[in-house]
Amino acid sequence: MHLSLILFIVCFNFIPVILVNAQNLQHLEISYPPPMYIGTPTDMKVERLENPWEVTRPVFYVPEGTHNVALNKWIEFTGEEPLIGDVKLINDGDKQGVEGSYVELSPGNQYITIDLESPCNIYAIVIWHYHAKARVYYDVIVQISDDPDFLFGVHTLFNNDFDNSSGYGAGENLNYIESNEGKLVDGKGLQARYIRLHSNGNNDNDLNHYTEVEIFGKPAY
Amino acid sequence: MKYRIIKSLILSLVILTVFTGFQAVSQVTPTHETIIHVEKLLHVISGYEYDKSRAWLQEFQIVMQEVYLDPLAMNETEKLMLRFLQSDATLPGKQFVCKHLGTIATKNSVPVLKEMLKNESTADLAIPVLERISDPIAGKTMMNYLKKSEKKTKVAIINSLGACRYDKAVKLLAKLVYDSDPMISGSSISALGSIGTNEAAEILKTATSKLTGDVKWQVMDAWLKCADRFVKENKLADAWIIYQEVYNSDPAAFLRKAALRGMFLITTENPVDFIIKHLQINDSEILPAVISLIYELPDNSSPGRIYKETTGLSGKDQICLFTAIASTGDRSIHPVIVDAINHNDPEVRIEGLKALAKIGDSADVLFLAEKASTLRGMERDHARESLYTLAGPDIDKTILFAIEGADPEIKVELIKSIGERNISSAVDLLIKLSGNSDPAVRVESIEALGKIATPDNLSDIIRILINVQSERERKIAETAIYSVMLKMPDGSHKSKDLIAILPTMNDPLTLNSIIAILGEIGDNRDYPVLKEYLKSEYPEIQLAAIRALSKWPDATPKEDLKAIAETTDDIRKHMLALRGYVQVVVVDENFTEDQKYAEIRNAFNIASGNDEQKIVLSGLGKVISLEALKFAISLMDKSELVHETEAAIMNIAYDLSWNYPRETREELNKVLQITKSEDLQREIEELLKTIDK
Repeated sequence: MHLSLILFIVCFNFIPVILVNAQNLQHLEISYPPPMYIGTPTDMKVERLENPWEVTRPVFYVPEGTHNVALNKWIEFTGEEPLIGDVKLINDGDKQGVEGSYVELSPGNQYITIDLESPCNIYAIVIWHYHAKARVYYDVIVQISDDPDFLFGVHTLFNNDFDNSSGYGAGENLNYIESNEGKLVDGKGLQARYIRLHSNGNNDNDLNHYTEVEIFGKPAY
Repeated sequence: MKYRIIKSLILSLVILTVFTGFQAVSQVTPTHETIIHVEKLLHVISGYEYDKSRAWLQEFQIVMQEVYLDPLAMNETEKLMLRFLQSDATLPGKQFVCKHLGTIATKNSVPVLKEMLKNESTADLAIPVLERISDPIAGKTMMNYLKKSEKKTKVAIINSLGACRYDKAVKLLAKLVYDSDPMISGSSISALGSIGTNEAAEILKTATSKLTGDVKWQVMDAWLKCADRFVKENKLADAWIIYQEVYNSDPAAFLRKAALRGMFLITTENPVDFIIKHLQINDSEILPAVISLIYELPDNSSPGRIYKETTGLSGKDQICLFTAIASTGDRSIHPVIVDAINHNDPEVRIEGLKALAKIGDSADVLFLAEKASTLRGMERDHARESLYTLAGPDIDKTILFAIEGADPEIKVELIKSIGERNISSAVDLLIKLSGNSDPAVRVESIEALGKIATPDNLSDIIRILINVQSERERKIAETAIYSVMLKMPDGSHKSKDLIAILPTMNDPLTLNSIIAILGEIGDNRDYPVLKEYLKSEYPEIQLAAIRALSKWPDATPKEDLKAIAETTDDIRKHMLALRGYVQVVVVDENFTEDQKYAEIRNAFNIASGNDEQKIVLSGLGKVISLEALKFAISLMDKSELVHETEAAIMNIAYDLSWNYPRETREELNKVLQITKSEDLQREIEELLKTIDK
């Protein structure tokens, strides 16, 4: 009798919440570009590398009305003028990975900052650095904040800078191989206006590349 | 007297001659030096194995560049290499030397190479060298050895006889065409094709009727090679017969295509008629090959009529056809391409847009701009690309003329094209359009100005920055100014104009922008001016100055940034200044490691909280000094910073171990005693192993 009461209270409190959330959620639709390479990636000798065969992207749910809030928004970047392309290519909707669809930024530790122009609830960030080859980009850090200087209210959503070379703490996420599916980072519904993406070259060269970044969210207000 | 003068003159001459002669003998000539170098390197390479350093091999390749320039050195090097091949040098060493001997070998090498043929392991090395010797003795040597050799060597010799076109081997190869071993028969067929004489062609012709299946196609392929050789030798009638016989014998598709192309290149018929005739056959197997012939048409062929006179092609073949015709620049295809752009299949539309770039003219400017403004995705990209690459004398003029009356969306596309086409005469127009009532027109105009404006236009763009109407325009104007400044000569004071207008600047937002640009430029001549803004009465201006100085390319601002980080009560200023302080110290290439360490220690003392200490630890990890390593080790007891401290230790230790292996080892052993992290222990043990090596 006592147990039934507890069960009733649990059901009474949580089932409606679950139902409401389930009604409002939808499968995140990401349009993937065609794969640019086929087959088993070569032995890369990259430390702390996730095994691509063990990683299957789970079905990712986001609230209804979620869309790419980064499309054609302003992007600032560190380093010299891009060596190839233009930063506009990062959020122009073209993620083909061919010549003319990616930007090549300065070598070493660099970052880009996307200004969403107003605070948004962010549910997912998908990053395609360069997927024409099976490459690993180093020290990838994904941060969001309402502060353009990223001093206050900073949420670090992903960090595989395990040797703290960027100064944002030693990250525990694994290195990953670029593919046409991009890297999906959970935004956890956190609110932010600015998104900052760090990288520090790749296993082929010291340069940083971006083919596309999509930020799935909804305006907060 | 006269006799005495003559006598002394003769004496002087004798002395001079003896002296210069002596000099010539004693002087080490460049050839001699090169030979000595080659000899030394060959001595080292005699012990080369695959798992040893390749550094000497690379040096040898460099010396060979000198050898190629000096005939005397080539002769001597050949002798040295032959002596090397007769020595007990390792097989990998001989393999490497043979690769280079092939580039200089003469008939003098043949006796040594002939000896090498007797041994299976060295025959492989000798054959490619023999192949490259132009003297017939090399071919004869290989041919004589053919019967005696094992299968693998035999195949290699046959291939080389073909490659060096040794025509005396034709009879022998003719017998081998029918060998039961497919490798031997295949290589013989191919070799006959490469030799390509009339006799070889006759043998191959006979073989086409005797052999069947894949080998038959192999023979036809070789026979076509003979035809190609005949074309080079201007024996066009002989070539035509072969091409025609292969084409009509219904062979594999690749052979028909090759034969067709062969006929096309030597036909006496009008080449456009030739293409039309073969298109009308409408054979799907060779249709793409027929269309591709359009790319090989001579200039002024007017291939437009090919499209008109060809019917019954499928949609995809039609696309290929008009794309090929457009590539020749024949404008008669224009209506077809416009139809394609308006087609209901997006693939056709894209190909049409691409083709229009090749044959379009000024009349297509507005059409493409309109398409760029209405289409989306890849179609829009191709419409833009075609507008940007449209060639012709009046295109730029038409774009500028069309802007005035165009709808806003089309106007934006036309303005974009100004930047992409670099229409430098449009600067004044863009300056005017940057004040347009339409925000999109203003944004595109400012952006295009950044691409085409010159330093002479800087004051105009600064004026645009002062008058911007949105945050986006401000950012684009900042970028435009920066881009124009980058066009100034290196070493010039690029920011002179910006510095000059600073005192007149009352608007804080514009001032912020200019300070940010000065930070990007990072010229030490501007530093005293920027420094003054750290004391501005406006906090936002102070912050802008801190941000600008944090991007400085060297440590010039370190004292100011340090002072702010130490003294300010404003947490934002403190954090920005501390980050900037660490940043400028680490990037300064003129700072010694000890100087960097001293500053990083200061920064660590100023840092408050774990987040700031992590930033400093990141900087510490980039300082390659024993003191830095010791300091990092001393921080190992801080549990909140354990991962960052360990990372800093390993970063320093890796770099330090090259110059201070003993000291690094001592310090790492201390860490091994303290740490409980298995990962760190493993990393240290690996590094210690490397140090031991």
